[in-house]
Amino acid sequence: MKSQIQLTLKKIPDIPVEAENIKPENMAGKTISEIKAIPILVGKCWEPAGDWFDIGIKESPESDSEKPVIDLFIKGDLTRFKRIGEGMSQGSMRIDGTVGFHAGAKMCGGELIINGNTGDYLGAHMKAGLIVVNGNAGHYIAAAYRGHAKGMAGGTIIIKGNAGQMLGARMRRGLIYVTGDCGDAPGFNMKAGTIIIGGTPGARAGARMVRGTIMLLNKDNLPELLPTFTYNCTYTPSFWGIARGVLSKMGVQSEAGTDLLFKRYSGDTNEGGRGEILISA
Amino acid sequence: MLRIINGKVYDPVNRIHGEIRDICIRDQKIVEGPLPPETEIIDAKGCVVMPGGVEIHSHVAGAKVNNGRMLCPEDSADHFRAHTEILRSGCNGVVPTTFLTGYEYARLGYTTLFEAAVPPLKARHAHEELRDTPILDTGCYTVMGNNYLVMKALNEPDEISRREKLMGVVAWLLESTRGYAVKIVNPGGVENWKWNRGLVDLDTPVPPFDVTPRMIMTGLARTAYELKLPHPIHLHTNHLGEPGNMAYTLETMKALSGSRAHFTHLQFHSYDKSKRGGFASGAVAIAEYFNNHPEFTCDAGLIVFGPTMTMTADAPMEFSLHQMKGGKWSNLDIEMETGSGVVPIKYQPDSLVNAVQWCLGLELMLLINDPWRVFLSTDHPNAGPFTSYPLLIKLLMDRDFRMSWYEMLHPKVKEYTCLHDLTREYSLEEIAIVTRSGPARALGLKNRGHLGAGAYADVAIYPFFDDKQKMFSSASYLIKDGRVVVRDGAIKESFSGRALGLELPVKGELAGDLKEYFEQYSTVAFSNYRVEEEYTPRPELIRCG
Amino acid sequence: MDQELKVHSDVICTFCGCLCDDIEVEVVDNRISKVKKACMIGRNKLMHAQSNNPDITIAGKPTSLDAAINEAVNILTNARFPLVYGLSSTTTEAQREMVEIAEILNATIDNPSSYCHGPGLMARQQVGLSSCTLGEVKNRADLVIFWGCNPLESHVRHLTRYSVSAKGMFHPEGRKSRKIVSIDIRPTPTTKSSDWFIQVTPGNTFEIATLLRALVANNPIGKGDDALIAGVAVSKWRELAEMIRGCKYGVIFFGLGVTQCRGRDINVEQLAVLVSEINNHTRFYAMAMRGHGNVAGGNQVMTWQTGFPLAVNFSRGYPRYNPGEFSVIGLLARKEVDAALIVATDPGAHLPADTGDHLKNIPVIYLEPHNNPTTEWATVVIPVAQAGVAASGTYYRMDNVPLRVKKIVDSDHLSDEEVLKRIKERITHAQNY
Repeated sequence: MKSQIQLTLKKIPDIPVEAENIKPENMAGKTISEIKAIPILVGKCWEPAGDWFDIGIKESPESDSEKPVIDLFIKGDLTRFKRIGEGMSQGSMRIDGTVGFHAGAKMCGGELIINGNTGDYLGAHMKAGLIVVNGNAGHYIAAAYRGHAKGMAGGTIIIKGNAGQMLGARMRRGLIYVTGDCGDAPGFNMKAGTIIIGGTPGARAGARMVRGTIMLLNKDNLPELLPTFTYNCTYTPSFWGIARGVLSKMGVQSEAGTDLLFKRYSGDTNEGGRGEILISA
Repeated sequence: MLRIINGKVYDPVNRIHGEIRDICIRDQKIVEGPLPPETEIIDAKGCVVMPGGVEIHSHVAGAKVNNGRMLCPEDSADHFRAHTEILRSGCNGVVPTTFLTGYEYARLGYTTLFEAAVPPLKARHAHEELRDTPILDTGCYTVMGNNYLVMKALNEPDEISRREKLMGVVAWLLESTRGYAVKIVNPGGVENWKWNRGLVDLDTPVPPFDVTPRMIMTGLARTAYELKLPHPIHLHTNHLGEPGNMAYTLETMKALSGSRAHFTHLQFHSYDKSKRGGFASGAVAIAEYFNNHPEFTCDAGLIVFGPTMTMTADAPMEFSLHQMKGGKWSNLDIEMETGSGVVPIKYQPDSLVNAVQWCLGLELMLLINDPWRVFLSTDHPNAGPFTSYPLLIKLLMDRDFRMSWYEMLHPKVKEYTCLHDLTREYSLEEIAIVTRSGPARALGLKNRGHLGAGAYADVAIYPFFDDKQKMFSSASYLIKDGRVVVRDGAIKESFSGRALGLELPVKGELAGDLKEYFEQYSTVAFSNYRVEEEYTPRPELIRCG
Repeated sequence: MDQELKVHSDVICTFCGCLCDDIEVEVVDNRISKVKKACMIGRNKLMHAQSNNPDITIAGKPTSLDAAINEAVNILTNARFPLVYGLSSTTTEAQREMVEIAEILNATIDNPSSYCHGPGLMARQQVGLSSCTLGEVKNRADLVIFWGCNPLESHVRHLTRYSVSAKGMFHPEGRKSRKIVSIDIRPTPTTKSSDWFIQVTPGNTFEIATLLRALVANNPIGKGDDALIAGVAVSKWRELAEMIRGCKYGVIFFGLGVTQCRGRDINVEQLAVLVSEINNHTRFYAMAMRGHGNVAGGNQVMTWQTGFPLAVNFSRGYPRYNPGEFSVIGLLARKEVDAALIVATDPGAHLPADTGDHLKNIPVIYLEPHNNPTTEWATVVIPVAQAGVAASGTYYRMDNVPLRVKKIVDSDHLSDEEVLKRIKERITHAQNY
């Protein structure tokens, strides 16, 4: 038997709330009253989670289906809730609603599913695990916090809607897939890793990138690349098939076939030119 | 009033070598006693009692220090202290914010602190930050080694007029900046870099006045002597951080022999060159020369492994460090005075260069015989944060511990250093000398660095442990001006310390042509240049001579 | 009775980041009667410094200072997510009090740089910046580039005192010995007085800096010489790159046209790397054209006290930093703060209307020497003695050179510093009992 914990927001706060304590490992095995006592920072005061959430625990029968068992459900408009799932290392959490800044930041394992939009810094400095957003995401997804040279260090982020600016900025490793469009400067100063964008990116893709790969699956309405990217060749990279397979396992089906041709540009030449932007030909 | 009893007292100035003595405190001073029976007592049984620590060289306040804080917010994200009813909040583990700097020094048992390099034009900034650095008495050194007025005065052909003008400039700069000592950083070298020229040697003429580093150093050393400054020139020589710079440092020492001088962070200036042009320790040669020249003092500039930040008025050095390492680089050229640069760095035991540097600093401290002339420093934060002092003390006091670190270094380090052969271990008394009594003497602070009657009641009490790192990592008590600031390792009270300045024998006045020159080319009006008394609300002027 | 005339020389004008310190002010019977040497803006500011003071009010009704301070303390101590904001036009002494108040309240503190030159600070946090003081420009610079700024109208005496016609040590001829280039999206008085005006398309600062980096360092580019970057041919940019490499001591002054156009902090980041890389060839520097008199000082004070130059939050009792999350525009746009203490800035005039509007829905305490759009609606208005006129203290010039501004007349009001100290003491008292 496995228990499922359900948190339902009772009222929408009028000031910001920081709720890094809301993550599966903090809830697992606890009684309702223990969960109610978990502190969250409302404005500048620590308050018990029970003041803000109705909490329910139900025993779920051992599932034999392949679908993972969700350990923690949260429901409500959590726009003002920051840091949900921050540092999460195991288990799974599903949020039905919009979340604020830093959701899943520094995550190092487990699965975070957000059925709604997210604020900025989703998965910032993420090390491992999976984040799926069925909605739009904000700016600085998987990015580095101010001053840091390296952001996301591993894991996978899938955004089924659009993403904001500076997607994957300064990322070090990992995979980001955006079904829709994204804002300016995806892959800014990235050190390595892969970003795949299904829709239209904003300007300055790959600016200051050192290494890594940015794949642009939609060649229409593409903004001009920066002058520090140079065209190399047109080909089908072997890892495209692999990436496609990985994504399809995660429920992302690409319309493009495995033999899709890409134009390869290398850059940013100002940073050594070891990165690549692959644009569907 | 306060009486400290049962503690083992280390007061090298007064030749007390670990004997159990009472220390009596009335008001802000140490007194002979006896004190009335109802006097509050601190029982220091099982503890070691020393004068409050005196930091002779640290970068804690002012433009480049703040630049360092601004440059690396990531050093603050995981290192912070919340405010309490008594204490202000703070952060940054490498370049702590001002309040945190004061608290951390106090917890280590320090009561006096000198900011090592203040460009005159930015002196107000340094004083503003020192005002926000609580508990400790503070002072700062005024950077002069690339100052136009200094160089212009030195360019004067007539010797008498040259000396007079230079004395006027130096006194004026010290007065205007409320400085405590003459600091020289890469004399002539910073100005030369602004002209996009290469490194300077002792006799390289430097534009625009065609004076040489030798002229700058010897001229300022002589002026410091003539002004009877309590601390001689505080010298960061040319060629910092270059392999083989030991030869240059020896040349400089020869040029200055006979006059007092303090060689700062000597570790960075004592490199021999390996056959392949790499770094090797030159500690033996430097220490040998140094041992024979009692007119010199130095601080070590010991390396601490881990992330830190280099910051110095030696702008060209920072630029070449940036070119070598990449990453962040901040630079600030300061008109008619100096430059400055900031570059974050990480010292790693598996890097041969860093391993040699690490050994070299310790070698200097072990090979220089007279502890009254070599002081503990990390050139905070350049070679490492000052919060590592307890670790460094243990490395000096415990050879087995030292060797256990030595084993973790890059394996080739044995070829380029002699640390392995050095068996000396510092005693507690020697630690007391290199961390308080020696620096106080070198700074000419007669009421600090000892526990005799008349001294300020600045007292540090450490719990005795065999593990000296543990022992020195947090004072049980710190008494500052007779007030118990730290009790059981926690800060109980916080207040502003004194600002240490000079009572000069002459009035600082610029010669007519120099004043005219200043007015023509500075962007700050002559009348607005001088730091007002508001910036040192609790001044203590040390008389020269 | 004879009127008493006092002449003050070397007065520091506190209006803009130039902090010209050679102003002459005549005071007759405690009234400023004449201002010499200042620019038009500075002169007007000084001449009108003593007029149009607001009343002490709570909700628009006149009251005593004591009652106003009590109400301020009441509002701040009851707030659950208060904002302390401003700092830009007052002394560092007052700014220090503001930081401490924010800390005691566990509040958020920000200054206007978050929507002016803050991106430049964020850029420095990623890559650093090579800069210099204004006297180095005056004495040495042989190439000056104005990028996205118009100092002839915003920092009027900048050109004569520091950057263009100033007669420096190694440029005794002043203007003649310097090359002046401006990069802007439209002609301005500054571009007109430049040797070379490069008119560019809006929003392309990043592309320009990227290209210049490649051209200065001879990195490969994917564009021909005729291709246009920001509306200007690559060949023209190559000329600029050559000029840059050929100078002896070059300086870029950048304005809001760089920091606030598309890309913001990454524009300055790229510009800073460009400047850094030019130093492989010659000496080269960049400096932000800071606007308000002491906005630079606000960044300095916040950095030495909290570790960060802007956008600091104390909710957890220690400083945390994140522009966007803790900067004024974001906080107000998301309607997150429930009270505000505002000092030495005019949000009613400076903030975008839609974000500034939230301030009208929450209690706001406002310290300000003059009537302005914000005094019209702030809950508690406390008039103060203007820094540099009726109060002394420290200001930091745009190149972070600290100067002490003078008190040249007496005021009926306390200074920002004094009012803030009283507020701080009463907050401490209220929290302890």
